[in-house]
Amino acid sequence: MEYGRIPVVVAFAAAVIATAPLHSCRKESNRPTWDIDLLAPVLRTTFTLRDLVADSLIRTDADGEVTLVYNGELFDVDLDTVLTAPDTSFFYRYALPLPGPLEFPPGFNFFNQVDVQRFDLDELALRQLTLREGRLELRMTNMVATTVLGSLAIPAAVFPDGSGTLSTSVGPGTPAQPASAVSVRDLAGARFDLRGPQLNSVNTLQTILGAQLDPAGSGATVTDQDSLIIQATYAGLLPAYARGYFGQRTVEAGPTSEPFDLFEAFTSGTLDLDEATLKLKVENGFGVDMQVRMRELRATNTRTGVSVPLEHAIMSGPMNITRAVDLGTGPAPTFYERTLDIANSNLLPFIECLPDQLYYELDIALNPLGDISNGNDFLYDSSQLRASLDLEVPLRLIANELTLQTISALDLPGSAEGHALRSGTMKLFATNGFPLHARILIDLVDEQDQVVAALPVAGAVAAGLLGPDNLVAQPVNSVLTAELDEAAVNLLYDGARLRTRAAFTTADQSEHLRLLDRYRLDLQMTIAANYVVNGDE
Amino acid sequence: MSKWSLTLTGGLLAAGLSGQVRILPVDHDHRAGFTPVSEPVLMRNHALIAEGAFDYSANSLLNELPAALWRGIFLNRELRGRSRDGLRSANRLGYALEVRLTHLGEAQGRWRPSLSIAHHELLGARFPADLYNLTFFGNAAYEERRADLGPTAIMRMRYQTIGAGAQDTRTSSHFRVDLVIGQSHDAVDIRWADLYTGADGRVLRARIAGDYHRSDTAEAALGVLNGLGLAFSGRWDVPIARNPNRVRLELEARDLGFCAWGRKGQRLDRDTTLTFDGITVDNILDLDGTVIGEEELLDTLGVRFRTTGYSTWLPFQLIARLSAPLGERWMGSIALDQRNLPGYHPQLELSARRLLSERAEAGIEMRMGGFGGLRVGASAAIRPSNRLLITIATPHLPAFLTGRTRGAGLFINAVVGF
Repeated sequence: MEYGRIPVVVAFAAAVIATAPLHSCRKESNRPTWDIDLLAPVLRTTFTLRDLVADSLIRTDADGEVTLVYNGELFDVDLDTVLTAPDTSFFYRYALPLPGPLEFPPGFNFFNQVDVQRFDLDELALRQLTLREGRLELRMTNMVATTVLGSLAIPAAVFPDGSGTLSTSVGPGTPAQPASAVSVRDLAGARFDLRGPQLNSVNTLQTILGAQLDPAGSGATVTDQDSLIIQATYAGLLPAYARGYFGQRTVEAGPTSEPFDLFEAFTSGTLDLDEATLKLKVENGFGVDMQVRMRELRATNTRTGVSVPLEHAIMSGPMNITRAVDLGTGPAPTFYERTLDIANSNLLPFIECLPDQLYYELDIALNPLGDISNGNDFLYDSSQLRASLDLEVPLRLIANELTLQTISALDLPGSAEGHALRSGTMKLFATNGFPLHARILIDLVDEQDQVVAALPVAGAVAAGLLGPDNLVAQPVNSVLTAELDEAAVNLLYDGARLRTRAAFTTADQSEHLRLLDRYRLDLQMTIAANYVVNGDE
Repeated sequence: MSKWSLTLTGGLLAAGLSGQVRILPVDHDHRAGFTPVSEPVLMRNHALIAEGAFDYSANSLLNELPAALWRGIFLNRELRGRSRDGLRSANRLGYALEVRLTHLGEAQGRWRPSLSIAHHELLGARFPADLYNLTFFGNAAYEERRADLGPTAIMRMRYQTIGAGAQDTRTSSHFRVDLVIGQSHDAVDIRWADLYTGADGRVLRARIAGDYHRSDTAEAALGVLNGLGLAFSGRWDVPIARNPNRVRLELEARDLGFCAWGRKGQRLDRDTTLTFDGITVDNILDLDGTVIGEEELLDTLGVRFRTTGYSTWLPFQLIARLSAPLGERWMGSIALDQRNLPGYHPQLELSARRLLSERAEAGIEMRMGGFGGLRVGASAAIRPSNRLLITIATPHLPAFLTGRTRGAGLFINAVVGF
C-alpha cells in the first residue's frame, strides 16, 4: 500500500515550488533531504458482517436479524465407485494346420472365426452399455508373404456411424520379419448389447473375425510357419449409460477431511451460539438402492486442536436411500434428508469449536437387498451420490475474545536502504455500531508468521450502547493509538508483514445478543509521521 | 566543504545580470570625460566577447538553504528554521543565468555589426510563508488550521538565442534581433490556494485556483527545440540637448520578445476544492488488494494535463540608466530595471566606478529590489594588454563571507580585441 502518499504529494508539490531554483542546476545524483512532520488521513472503511461473510451466506429476516446460511458438500461418489471397466484385450491366432506349403490364390479367405468373449467385470453383470469415451484397437501381425485384409465384426454393437465392423490391412511379412498394422476406432457413442448371442447372458459380446488375402495381390505360398495374429483391445472405456445388476457390495468413502471455511477468519476465542440447524441431504442419481452408514463425522479446529465428533441418530443407524428412476434421457435422483438441531444432537459444540475441517468416514452398501430390480440397475455418466450440509446459524451469540486475524504485506514506497517514512503515530478512529467491543493487537511477523515485533495499541473499540431490547441503540466513538517507531518501520521495510488481530467480546456476557444486518463499524486511520523528503530510494 | 568554499561555490555560479555590469559593448564614456579601461580593446577592428553571469537573489531565504539544497545534504531543522525566521508574508526568489559569446565586427560607417549566441536560464518565484513552512516542516503544525499557499507564482524558462545586430560607434546605442530556441518552460500561477488540516489529521481539505503551463516534457536537454520565437534587444543612448554636466540617459530592452511552445505543450487548470479523508478500503480484511499507485492518486486529484500549444512572453528586462562623471576618475550612475518574472520588483541600482590606473578600474554598487532587498556589490576590470580585457563583478559581496545572507552572484567577462 502506498498509504500516506497524499500528504507526501502535498509536501512534494510545495517542495518543488520552493526548491525549483536548485533543481534546475543541482547535481541529480545527490538529492537534498529533510524531515517533515506529516499529519494526514490514511484510510477509511466501513466494516459490516458482509465483509466477514459473503453475501451468499447471509440471510436477513424482516427485523434485520442475520442468519448464516452455509451450504457445503460433504462427500461425492461418482460412477467410478460403482462401475469401472478395465482395459481388455482378446487374442486370435491362426496358423496352417499342415506343414504345407500350400498355394493360396488372391482373395482367399484365410480364416473366418465366430467367437464369444466375456468381459471380466467382477460383481457387475451388465446387459447394456453405452460408452461416453473409449476406443477399440485392432492390431494385426502378418507373417504371410502377401497383404492380408482383416475385419472384426461385433453384431451386438452399433457404432455411431451405424456399422459394427472394424477393418484393417497389413502388408506382406515373414516369420522372421512379421508385418504389423493397427486400426483404431473411437467408441464414443457406441452401444453394446452385452447379453451375448442368445440374449441370455451378461458382460458378453459375440465377435466375427475374418482374414482374406489381398484380392488385388498375387496370392501366397503358406506353410505352417506362416501365422496371423489379431489382437482386439477395448481401452479407456467410460460409460455414458449402463444397465444390469451392479452387485451387492460395500464401498468405502473416506476417511477424509473436507475444508470448512465458514469460520476461517477466526483464530481463537470462544463463541456461544443460541441456536443452529444442520440439514444433511443425500442425493442419489444411481439406479441402485443404497445404504449409507456414517462411521464418523467430526468437526476439527486445526488451529486449536479441538475436535468434536457429531452425536446424532444417523451415527448409529444406516440411512436407506432408494434408487433413482430412469427417465431414458437421464436419472431422476432420489433425495434423503435429515435435520439435526440442538435438541437431537450436539450441534452447538460441533459448531462452536469453530471448525475449519470436517472429517468423515462412511460405508455405502449397494443393493443391500440383492438384485431386486431383476438386473435393471442403471447409471448415467451424470449419476452421482452426493451428500451436502446446509447449516443455518442465527447470529444470536455470546462472544469472548473471538479473534479475527488478517496479515497484510504492505507495499511501501522506498526500500530497506532508503525510505522516507521514519516513524509515526497511527490513530484509529472507530464508530462502533456492533454490540461487541474489540481489542486490537498489531504485530509484525516474518515469512513464517513468527512475531518479530509488537506494536502496542493504546485503547480499545468500545461496544455500541444497548437499548432495552438488547439491540444497539447508539454507536460509540473510540480512539486507539499505536506507535510506529523507527525500528518497526525498518522491520516493515525488511519484509515484515502486519498482523492485525481484533478480539471481539459481546457487551453482555450473560445473554445472547442478536447481530443485525444494519450494524456497522466505521473506521478511519490517520498517521502523524516523520517523513524525509527525497528519502525514498 | 567549508563555509568559504560553499560561499565561493555559490558565488562562482552567480553573478549580476541586472544591467549593472556595463561591459557590452563599447562604452564611450570618454565623451563625458571618463575613459574606461575597456576602450583600447573594444576600439580594435574586431572584438570577441565571452561572458558568463549568474545572479541569484531572495528576499527571505538565507543563502545557506539553497546552498545546502544544491549540495544535496540533509537540511537540519536549525538551518531551515533560520530561513523560516526571515520569512515575510510575500517571499520572492529568482535567478538569471546567461552565457553569451559576441563578435563585434569592423565598423561600417557609424555602425559595427555584431553576431551573438547565448544560453539563458531564468526563474522567478513568489510564495507565501505557509508554503515554505509546509514544504520544509510539514503540515503537522497546521492541525486545525489553514495554510495559505497562494498567491504563488513561479516561472522558469530555458532558451537559447542566435542574433545579429549593430553597435553605434559614437554612442552606446545598439540593437540586436534574436531567433529564440525554446528549450523548456514551466509556469505555475496559483491565484489562491490553501490546505486545511483537520484535528488529528482526519481530513485534508485543499482549495486551489490556478493553472500550470509546461513545454513538451519528452525531451528538454540543451539544444532541444521545444519552442520558437523572436526577441529584440537594444539600447538607446538618448541625446540630451543641453548637457553641461555631461549626463547620459540610456534606455535599454533585453530579450523583448516571445516564444511559442509548440503543440505538445501541456496545460493544467484547476479551480476546485479537494477533500481527502483517507483511501477508501472496500474490505478491511483484504488490505492486500488496496494498492494505490501514483497514477490512481493523480486521477483522484484530477491532476491530468491536456496537450495544447501556447505562447509566452520572454522574461525580458527593461532598464533606464542615468550616468554622469563624478570627477576625472569617477563615474556614477543610477539605474532602474524591471524583469518580466514573477516575484521580481523594480530594482534600483546605484553604482560608482573609479579608474585606478590606465589599465584598471574598480567599482562599487548598491541595489534595492529585484528578487531581494538591499545588496552591495563590487566590480573590477583589468586590461593586461590592449588586446585583452578581463572583468569580474559580484552583485552581493557578503555572499562571499557568510551563508546567512540573501543573494549571490558572479559575472565574468573576457574581451579579446584583434
